[in-house]
Amino acid sequence: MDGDTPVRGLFTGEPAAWHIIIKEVAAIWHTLTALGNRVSTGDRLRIFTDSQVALHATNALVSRSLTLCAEVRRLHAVAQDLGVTLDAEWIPTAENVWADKLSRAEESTDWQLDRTFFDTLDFKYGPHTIDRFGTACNTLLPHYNSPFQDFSDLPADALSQQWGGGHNNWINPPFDRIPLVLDKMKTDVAKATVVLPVWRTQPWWTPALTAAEEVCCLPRRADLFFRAAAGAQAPRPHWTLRPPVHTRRAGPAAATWTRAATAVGRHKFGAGLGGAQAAAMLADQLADSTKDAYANKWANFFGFCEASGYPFLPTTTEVVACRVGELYERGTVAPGTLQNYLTPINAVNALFRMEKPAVGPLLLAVTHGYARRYADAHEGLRDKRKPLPAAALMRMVGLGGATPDPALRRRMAGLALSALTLCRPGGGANLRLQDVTLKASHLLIQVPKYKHGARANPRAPPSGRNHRPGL
Amino acid sequence: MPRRPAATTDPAYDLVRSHVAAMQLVDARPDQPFFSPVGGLLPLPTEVATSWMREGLTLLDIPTPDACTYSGHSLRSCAATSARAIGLVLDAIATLMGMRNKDTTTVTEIYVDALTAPDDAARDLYDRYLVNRR
Repeated sequence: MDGDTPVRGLFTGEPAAWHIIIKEVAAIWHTLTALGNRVSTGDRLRIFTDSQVALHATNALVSRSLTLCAEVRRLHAVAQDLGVTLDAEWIPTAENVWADKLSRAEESTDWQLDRTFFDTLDFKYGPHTIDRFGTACNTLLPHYNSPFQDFSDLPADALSQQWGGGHNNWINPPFDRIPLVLDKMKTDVAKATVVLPVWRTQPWWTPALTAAEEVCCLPRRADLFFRAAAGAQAPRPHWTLRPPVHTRRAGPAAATWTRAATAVGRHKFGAGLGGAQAAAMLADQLADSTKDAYANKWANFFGFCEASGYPFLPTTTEVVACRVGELYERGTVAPGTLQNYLTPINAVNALFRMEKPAVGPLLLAVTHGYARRYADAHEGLRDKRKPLPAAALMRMVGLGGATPDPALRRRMAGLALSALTLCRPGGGANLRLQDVTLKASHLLIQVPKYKHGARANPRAPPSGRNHRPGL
Repeated sequence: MPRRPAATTDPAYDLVRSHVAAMQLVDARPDQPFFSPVGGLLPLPTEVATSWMREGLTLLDIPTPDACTYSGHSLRSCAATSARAIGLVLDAIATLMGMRNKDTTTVTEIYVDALTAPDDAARDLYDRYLVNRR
């Protein structure tokens, strides 16, 4: 509403199976209900919808479909209650970016503690009066603060409310909000039951334990949390030990990049002697995982340019600066990861032998501004990466040497080898047995190169090897 | 990777060496990923060393300093910082890290915390790379 107040909700249960048109109309009256206190009697409200059917149904207040007609009547009733008239207008889907984004965004922090455990905690520490991080779908209490405006009788954005004053708060926050929650509780002298993950290495862990009057551990059960919107068991939030997951494996976009680079190479180098090989080498310039990341980021940039009418190839520094602005509006990209969005733009332009647009003092100034505004908005930058102390590493080595668990011993050996060879995080993890040779007084280790080259073949003559000097 | 002199302890080297010996003992295939369970030929993810490190931090209950985090390259940074603290020269560190053209700028800007004091753990891990220049 007004272009600045997002309203968001999810259709769950039977309405989740409704036809999209019926949901479109239902979404309108739900929105009106949620924002009822912001309109005045006699107001004329302009409603933008990208559905022609919803548009006509809203303006005519009638439909031949019985189900749709029921929703239209509800809309009419809500409008009458508020004393407003509705004037719907059509907006192309391509221009309906903001609302579309809200409707498609997956709520990754939508988890609800199992009702049995909640009841136990409520009996022990309650009664709780307000759920500070609930939504209409997953709240366990009648009163809640939602991250978005929805049907709650209380304002959205829990962190801007007063938590003290006799409230007994129920707080099951998104994990990235935990430091803010703890600060807020301290400031407001709030009484609360807080659900926290056991993350002993986090800076907030020790202060949280110190501040708590009582701590109780929930069991490590798969059904501890429930994803309310999906109506299914939630994947367990990341607890203490995260199993290794391959997040950097090449996806389908890598193949697209390879095809495009090969086509460019063929065009540049022709079909003469060595041309095909040169094209293949151009395509193999990047590791598959990098190609995948670049191709995805480039596709996003392409989508941005297409939606806004900016040129994308060749593009300009000014367009890239606008892209940075759009990334800032998204609010999900930290300054430290901004470069990941810029490098692919340079890479594609370089592939076509065009000037790299994402460089230069203008863009540098914009990215500095990005970091400053991000820091202001988030009350500081993200935590700084620290070197692991050598003493901590030695303790891990000691743990590996002493444990009877062979899997843990293997992992600590992996850690020791990665540290001793000073390799990149993936270097040690991807060693194969043939890369390691046991000698009487030393180990001969061949670490695969990840940057700008493929793994050398250890069976090849010594000149082809990539041994660490001095090993 | 040389072992430290025989008279000194070298638990990190010994841990790695015992793992190599164990892999050879069970007659694993040459293309067996070195830190996967024997028989599992799926390559490990790039970030696996980070999860190993976080597992170690959790099990040993090692806290993170305020406003800081240990992330993927903290281990590499540990290596560079420790090596620098005990006296390895920067270009040697850049070479050991596999930096292109022995790029010491990246090493100092990104990896080395120059305020770290030398300690026994750093020596235990990295004095094997010290070069006697006399």
